[in-house]
Amino acid sequence: MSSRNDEVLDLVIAKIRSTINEDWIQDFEIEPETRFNDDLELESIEFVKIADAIQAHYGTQLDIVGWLSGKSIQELISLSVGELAEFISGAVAGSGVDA
Amino acid sequence: MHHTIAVNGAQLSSLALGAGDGTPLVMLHGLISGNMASWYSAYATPLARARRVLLYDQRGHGDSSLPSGGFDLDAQAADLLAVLAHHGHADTAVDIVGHSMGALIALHFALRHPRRVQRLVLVDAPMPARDHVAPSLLGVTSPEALAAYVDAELPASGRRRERLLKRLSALFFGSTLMQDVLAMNAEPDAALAALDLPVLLVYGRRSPCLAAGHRLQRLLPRAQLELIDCGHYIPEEAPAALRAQLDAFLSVAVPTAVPAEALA
Repeated sequence: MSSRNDEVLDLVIAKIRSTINEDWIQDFEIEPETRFNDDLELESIEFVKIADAIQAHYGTQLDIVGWLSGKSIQELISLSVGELAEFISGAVAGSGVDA
Repeated sequence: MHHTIAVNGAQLSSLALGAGDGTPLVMLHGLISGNMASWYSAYATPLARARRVLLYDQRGHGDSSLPSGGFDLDAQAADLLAVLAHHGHADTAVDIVGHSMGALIALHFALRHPRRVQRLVLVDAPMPARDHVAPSLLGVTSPEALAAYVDAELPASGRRRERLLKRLSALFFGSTLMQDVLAMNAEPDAALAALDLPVLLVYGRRSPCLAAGHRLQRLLPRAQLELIDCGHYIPEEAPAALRAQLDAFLSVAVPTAVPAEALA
């Protein structure tokens, strides 16, 4: 995994912890295989908050339409943390701007 | 970008997405199961390529607060007015898309503030809510009945189910939601007949609310009715077909937005 991917994965995990913001999540081991749906039991509105926090972090470097669009919220919540991080890495890298 | 907006007795969670020359668009979700996620990824982000798109969680929904009242259409239209003002659209006319209860709020807002609306999209508007919405909620009179309602209508498990039950307990047993919905009559025929705006009505062919679509098409002077092969929950059931309808209706050029006061 490139350092870009590691950095994105760390960011996604940090945004998951700060968004859920309950005691259990602070000690919960979040790995690339962890699934938003089955493992974190995330609500759709929490996914929106995580996505918005990630978008705010990257600003114009991340093409929001490129990584989210067309996908239903159910499709997004069925992803693993690692799969989401890969989408984001692709959309940041695809913009041609180095983070 | 996330915003928290103080309105009459509640704090509303809101997102502003995108930019562009197009008419600003606000999207309103449905009752109980709806929130900003209903529109966010499948609709709002792609539409935000050409215009600013505003989303918010209505009172008692999503990440907004759980007030004990203000679920009637007057109060919710006032919430929408406050959301638009917060985002700097106190004087501009906007496009509004609403599903279900969100469509009733959008229509009520347009009837009260016609100069603030450029175009209206009503997705399976259940008018009157007293007949189309209230019956499904009336049986929820105890925590046990609420649990049965959730397991039948909104299946979820574990943490999600607990959080849903907590929110819905507050809505059903600690707020005026039920009585407000029971009091929602149809908008007056004469007011509908006088609404001089382009309106897109999108209904599900198998929706129990379809009769409302035919009625609105008959009464509204500039309405077109489009039917999609699905039930009431069109945003989830038929995203590609609804996206196509929104893209076609909202991509038609409209005159540059004129300040509402200049029109008054």
